[in-house]
Amino acid sequence: MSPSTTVDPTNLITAPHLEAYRREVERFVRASWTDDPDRDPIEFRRRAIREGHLLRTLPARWGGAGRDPDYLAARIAHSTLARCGAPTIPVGVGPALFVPTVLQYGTDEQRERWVLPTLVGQLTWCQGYSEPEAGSDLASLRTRATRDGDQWLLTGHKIWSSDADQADLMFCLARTDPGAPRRAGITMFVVDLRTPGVTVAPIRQITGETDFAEVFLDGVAVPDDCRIGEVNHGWAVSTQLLGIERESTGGTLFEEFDALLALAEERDAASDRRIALQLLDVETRLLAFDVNQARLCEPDVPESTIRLPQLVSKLMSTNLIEMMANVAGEILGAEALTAPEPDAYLSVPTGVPGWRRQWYRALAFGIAGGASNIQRNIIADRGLVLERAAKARS
Amino acid sequence: MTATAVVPQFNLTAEQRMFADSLASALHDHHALSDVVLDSGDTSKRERLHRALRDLGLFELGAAGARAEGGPTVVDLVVACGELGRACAPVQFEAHAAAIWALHRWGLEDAGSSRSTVDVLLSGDAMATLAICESESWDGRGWATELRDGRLTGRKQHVPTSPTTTHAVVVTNGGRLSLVDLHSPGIQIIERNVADATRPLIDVVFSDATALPLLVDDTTAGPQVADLAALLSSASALGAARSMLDQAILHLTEREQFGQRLVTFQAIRHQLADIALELQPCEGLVWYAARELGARHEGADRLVSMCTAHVTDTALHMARRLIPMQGAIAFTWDFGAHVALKRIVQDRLLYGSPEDHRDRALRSASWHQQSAQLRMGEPPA
Repeated sequence: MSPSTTVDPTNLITAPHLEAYRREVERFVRASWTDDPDRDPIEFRRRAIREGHLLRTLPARWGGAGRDPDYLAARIAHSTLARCGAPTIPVGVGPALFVPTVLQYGTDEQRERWVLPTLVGQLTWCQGYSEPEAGSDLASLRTRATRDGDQWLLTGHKIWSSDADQADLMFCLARTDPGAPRRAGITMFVVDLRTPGVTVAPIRQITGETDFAEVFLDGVAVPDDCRIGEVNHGWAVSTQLLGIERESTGGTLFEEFDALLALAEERDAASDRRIALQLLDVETRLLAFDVNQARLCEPDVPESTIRLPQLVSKLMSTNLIEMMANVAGEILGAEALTAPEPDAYLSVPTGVPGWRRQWYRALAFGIAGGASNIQRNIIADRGLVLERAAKARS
Repeated sequence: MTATAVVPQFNLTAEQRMFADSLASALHDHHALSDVVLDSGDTSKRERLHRALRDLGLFELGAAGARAEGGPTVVDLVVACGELGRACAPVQFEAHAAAIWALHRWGLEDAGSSRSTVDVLLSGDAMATLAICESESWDGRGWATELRDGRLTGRKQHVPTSPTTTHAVVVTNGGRLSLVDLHSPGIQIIERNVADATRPLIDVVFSDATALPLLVDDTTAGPQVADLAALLSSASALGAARSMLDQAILHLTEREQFGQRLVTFQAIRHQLADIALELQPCEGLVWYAARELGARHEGADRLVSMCTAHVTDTALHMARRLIPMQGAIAFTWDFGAHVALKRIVQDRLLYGSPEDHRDRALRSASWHQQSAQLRMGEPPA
């Protein structure tokens, strides 16, 4: 817990002018995350959010500190909490995707009901987008929602829903106007997974675990106050959602790199020049990612200058996760012959078992939250404006 | 907590964006790729370009970048190099800017007698260059060029030159610096056959030539100048790679095969997206490294090496991918893609190879130091 005193320009958050804030976070952790066995992670998160050490931009009305975006502050807070073993915002689609969406498109009553409980970990979520016939081609979805008084009845089949067997709620897309063009007749709903008619069937993954599941909806009643945004406007709500995170610090990427270095040290692997060069490559690309993310948060920057940095962000982080898994694979060597142990870590891979699992699990990041090839389409069409260029010339 | 500064730390300021636009506009008005490709031997165009850049104050930038509070102005230098790279401009700016930076950072021991020389170099009427490499090595531990009692002896390789280059800042053994008039007695110039026709290189042999020492007793002066030049070159390489991407997008949007514009094929779009994905993050990385180098933060040398190795390698790999993507036309001389490719080749190697820079970054990596001391350079077990 001792404060960092070494200034290292290859690590953005060691700049001296940030030291005071790092100490402030450390004092907060010391006071709020004690050794008391009854300490409560939910209450800790609630305080950390209120004081701006987590999700610093969350408006005060919804339990936050309402501060301006500040990437470096967000990075310092996250890294300090992680280093001290204190809870951070739970990993998952609820905090990452649903909260920004409901903040933008929800009603005040919905924000009151879902925002803070999700961020502190009281409510857990899964996402109901993909269907057997609608993966990357999301607009082909067939799940139907029909109006029934002041509620809706949902029938359909969702798939690849991470954590669905553990989640309380699912935000999902359903077709509300079958006669409308593909993208026009879709609406977003929140489904309580304990409602009659919901069946969750876990799917076994290549790691042997069952993190994701199929969700069958058979005439599931959803109150109209669980609809997000206007009827038939779900496409705009959901696609906006994919690019919403501006202050994203890349989840646990930086902690993962530290864990990879620890693995290299444990296995005495960095003395192998081939491995050392790979680690240097990851370090350099991680720094480039850090700078890229920092660019997105600065005030008074024209949108046109950060459009491409914003669009490449997801694929950069996916590639970093994959690169780190590959380096770990090299370091593991024959250890890879052993079957991966389920749940070998919680958020950051540690040691040989953790990385053995991560070597498989990293593959999911190129699929979830917008597959890498869809990201390439977005970069090409919106970032390099190829679609517009081709149309303009035809 | 005030981590948010009013001035952007990771993006360009409004003034820097305006400067980049002005420079791009001047380059567009006074220089075309076809001038390089056709190489008519007409020097008047290059002279007009040189005057236009001088009027923008380009050649004085290195002086501003040397001021102690001049962190942001090293960013100005990389912005300039990025635009020059993008235009594949026939200007030896990187070496000139780094030499001017050194002259202003440390000054000459005998400042009075040479003030007019420095003023001329600043104005851009004459250009300065940098002489660093010896025996195909950028590693100062092997340099033999010696300065004794104001006389210089030795041989430097790969020295950037131009028709108006008159002086060189020479790095001598021990990392010290001196200024030499390249037209003075005891100096032999050997022209090299260079791939990048926009920026010629020479070898210079010093045989008891007169040299003016810079007022510096710091053995890291030479490496510091080389760091700046390396970073400026990586910005130039990145600019050149981006120009190749822009040119490819233009061509692939125009060209039809199978009844469709090539850019409508997903195979093509994904390749372009992957190239943008690699090049885009280099931009912020170069700006950030420039800011840290300008602020003279400890460890900036490692950052420059990481950045230079990564950016120049990325630029080269993307440039090589872009040529076959466009078909045979891109392999032709007249299409001009080779101009940017050759620029990148030079930028990548002129101030230390990526391999050299990676070695240096590994030597000073906190996570690698112990094993580096034990086993560096040994083949994997």
